Amino acid sequence: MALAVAETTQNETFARSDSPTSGPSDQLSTHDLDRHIEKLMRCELIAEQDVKTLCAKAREILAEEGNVQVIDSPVTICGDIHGQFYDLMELFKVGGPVPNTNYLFLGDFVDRGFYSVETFLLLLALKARYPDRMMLIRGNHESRQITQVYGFYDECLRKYGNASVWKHCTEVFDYLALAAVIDGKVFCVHGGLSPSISTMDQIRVIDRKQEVPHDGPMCDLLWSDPEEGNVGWGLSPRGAGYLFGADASKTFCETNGVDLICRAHQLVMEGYKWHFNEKVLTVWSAPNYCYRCGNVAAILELDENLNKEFTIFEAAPQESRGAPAKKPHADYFL
Amino acid sequence: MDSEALSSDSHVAAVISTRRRSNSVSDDYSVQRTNDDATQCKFFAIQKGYWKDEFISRFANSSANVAEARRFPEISMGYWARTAAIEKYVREFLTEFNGKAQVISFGCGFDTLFWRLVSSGSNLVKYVEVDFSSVTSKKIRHILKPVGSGSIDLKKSFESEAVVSHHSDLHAGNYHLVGADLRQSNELDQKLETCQLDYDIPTIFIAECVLVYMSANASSSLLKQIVSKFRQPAFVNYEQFRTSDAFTKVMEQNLGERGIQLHGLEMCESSEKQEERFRNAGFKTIKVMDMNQIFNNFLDQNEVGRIRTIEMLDEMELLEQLLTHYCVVFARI
Repeated sequence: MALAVAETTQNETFARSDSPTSGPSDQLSTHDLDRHIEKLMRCELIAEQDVKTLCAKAREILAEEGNVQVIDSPVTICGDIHGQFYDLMELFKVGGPVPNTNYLFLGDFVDRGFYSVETFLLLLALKARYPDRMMLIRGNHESRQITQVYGFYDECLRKYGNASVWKHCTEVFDYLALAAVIDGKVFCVHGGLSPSISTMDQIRVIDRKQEVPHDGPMCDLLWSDPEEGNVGWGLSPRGAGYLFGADASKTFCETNGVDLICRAHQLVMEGYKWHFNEKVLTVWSAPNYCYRCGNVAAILELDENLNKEFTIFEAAPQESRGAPAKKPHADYFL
Repeated sequence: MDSEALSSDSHVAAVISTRRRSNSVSDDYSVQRTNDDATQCKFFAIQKGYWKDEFISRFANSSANVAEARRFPEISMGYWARTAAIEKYVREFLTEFNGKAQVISFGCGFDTLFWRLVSSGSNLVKYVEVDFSSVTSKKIRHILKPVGSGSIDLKKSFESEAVVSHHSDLHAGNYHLVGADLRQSNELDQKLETCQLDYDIPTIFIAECVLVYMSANASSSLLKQIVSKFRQPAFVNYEQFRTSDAFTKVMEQNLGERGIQLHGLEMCESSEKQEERFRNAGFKTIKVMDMNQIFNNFLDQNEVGRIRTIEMLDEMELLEQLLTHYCVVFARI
């Protein structure tokens, strides 16, 4: 798709959705957004005030989206990113730049990596700039509680000297959609299925604008895992969500008329993994996860006819990552 | 400006420091720094409640802010498993010989096992710790520094007044802390001589991530030296394992950036390699378990259950991958 066409479409969408309201969008021009994007693409921080405005704008856009985002193909599906900024740049290199490529990110933008702040703000700025080309749904790490254990909170404190950026971002988390459906045929979610959910309509009526609960359907969507040989619903070793098997997956697909359940959430060394006779798919997009695991990453491109093409990519080379002396290190037992 | 961003000056500085590290003295310095890292990891895990250790705060840098000190749950869980496994082997050994046994810890760092054993009423004949003298001198300073209110006096665990020599050695009744380079057999021999050891009674040696920094030749010589000198030695060795995959390649690269070279990695490749090394040194019974086995079978499963619920681990695979790549070797004559 030509860049110029995409831009025009976006500007129209922008103008339409902006006109009825007055709010943060008035203070955030396309020009501002482009400036933020340029800066964030260099892995540089934007000012705290700009974060506040951006988050308000993003909330405004996300609030209009349903719990189950309806998406048209073609689209490229991406799994966990986890603050690995330079690897996200690799992803855009192999997947194509925004807005030329439509993206659906399946959550877990933050935590564990060294650049959760830059990563999340960049994705958010791209969302605000190209709302229909950039789809973001919620992962289990888009949570106040989890980000205080796995690094995003500490990183905000370290980089901004206070917790207000973390606070703005976590307010955005509450507005992220819980799932997406592509051409009515591919159901996308961060974690997996829930024993409390048999239809997509049951997801649509969840009051999602809250912190991720410890249990219940919203929690399960973000925490569950497929498990080979599992019949019915098993206890998850993660302490949240369920293990679901081929039977639950088949039932869900039949009930909802979908062909495939596409999810992320689990590290797979080869970047993607099929489960249950290609009913469920895991896509993982954080290469060399935690700068330690030695895995490759994958994205899944779906064309207009939902034909699938996987692209495997590796971690960004060392020289593009900043000086090693300044870099926090991966932990081992020493 | 983000402090992590690339600047040409810092890049040049990093390149220079990497080059400087290539000589052996600064290589040793980086290895010694691994003790600081291990101590901070343990200190954080202990504060989180993974295990109890009232002594470690005397050695840890407690002024590190939370954002710097925080470690991921799989790291705390792994350090717990290692500490618990070593302690279990040592306690069982001491019990087996009714306390008529000695403990010698190689590359002890700021380990607190001596104090944990004594405070829980364990009997032992000698507890000897050996590390680079730059590490032992720091440990001595921490042991002897003034005791503030609310902190514990490590000297209280000693049978007699602590005598310090050469800034690097401390002798206090049945506790000895001596500075020696484990690769220098004469130096090690001489230092052990100052500890009034009984070479005839059962003696358990501990090495946690120590042999892996030595060349295969150096660690084999060390093991042979032990067997020739001690009549009833046992050895608990904790270190890297299954080293021929992508995980280890990444580890070598990451640690290399910190100036840490794993010269003995070839010995960590498999159970067979470990068994061969210990058998060649004269050990007869050798058991190798990876840390997943230790975690899921060897350690108290009630404790494992408790450990799992302290922090919600978001990704089990991360813990399993780490535990798969470390092992405990227990060798006896």
